[in-house]
Amino acid sequence: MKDQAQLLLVSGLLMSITLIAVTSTITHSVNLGNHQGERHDITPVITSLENSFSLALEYEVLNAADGTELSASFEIVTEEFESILASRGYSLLYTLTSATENNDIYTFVYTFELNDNTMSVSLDKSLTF
Amino acid sequence: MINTKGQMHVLEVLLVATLFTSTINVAVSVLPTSDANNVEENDLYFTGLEILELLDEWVPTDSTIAATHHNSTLAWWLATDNNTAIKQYLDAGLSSSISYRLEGTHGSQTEVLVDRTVDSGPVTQTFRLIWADDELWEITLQLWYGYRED
Repeated sequence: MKDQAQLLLVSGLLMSITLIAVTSTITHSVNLGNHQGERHDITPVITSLENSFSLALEYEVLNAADGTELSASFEIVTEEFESILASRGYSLLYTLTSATENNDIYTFVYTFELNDNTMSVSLDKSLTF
Repeated sequence: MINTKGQMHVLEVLLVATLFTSTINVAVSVLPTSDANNVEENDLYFTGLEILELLDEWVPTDSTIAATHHNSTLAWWLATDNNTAIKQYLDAGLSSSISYRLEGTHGSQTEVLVDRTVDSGPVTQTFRLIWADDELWEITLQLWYGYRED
C-alpha cells in the first residue's frame, strides 16, 4: 500500500515537471512568434531629425535676441525636439560639446542619442552655418 | 517505518510545491504578452514613416524651389498650403486597402491636411518632423486598413 502511494506521488511529481517543461516551451515559442517579422528601424526618425534640427537651430540662433548665449539657443531647440520625440515613444537626448561664433559663422558640435526602447543610436555631429 | 514516513512526507511537500509552480506557470502562459506587437500595425507604422520620409527627401525639380524649401517637396507643399498635392501623393503611394488622415501641427496651431473620418478599429499613428516656412511642423499620419473615402 505504501509502495503504491509512493509510486503515485512520484508519478504526480513527474507529471507536474513535464507540465512545466511543456508550458514553458509553448510560452517561449509564442513570445518568439509574436516578435517575428517586427521591424526596428529608426532610420526614418534619424533622417527627420537630421533634416529639421539643423534648420531649426539656425533659425533660432539667427533670430535670437542680442546677447543670447549659443548654448541657450541650443537648449531651446533641443527641448522642443526631445519633448516631441518623447510624446512619440522615443527617447532623445542632445548633448552640446561646444558652440562657437567667428565672424558670423556659427559652429555647433554636439551628440544626440536616440532610443526606441529596443535599439539605441548615438551620433556625433558638427554643424556650421 | 519512520524512514518511510519521512520519505513520504518529503515527496508530499515536493508534489505540492511542484503543483503550485505548474499552476502558476499555466496561468501565466495563457496571458497575452504585454510587449507583443501586432505585425500588421507594425507594417503600417513603417509604411507611414517611409512614405513621409520619401516625400520629405524628394528634391523639387525646379532648383529655385528646391533651394527655397531646403530640397524637400513636403516642405514646399506645406509652405504653399498645397494639400491637394499631398493628398494625391499619399493616395497614389499607399495601398488602396489603407485609409489615412493627415494633420500638421506648427506653433500652437493644428491643421487637418487630409480630412477623413478616423476608423473605429485599430489605427496606427506615425509622424515626421519637418522644417517648413520657418516653422517646425509635426506631421501626424493616422493609418488603418479599410475603405478609403474620396
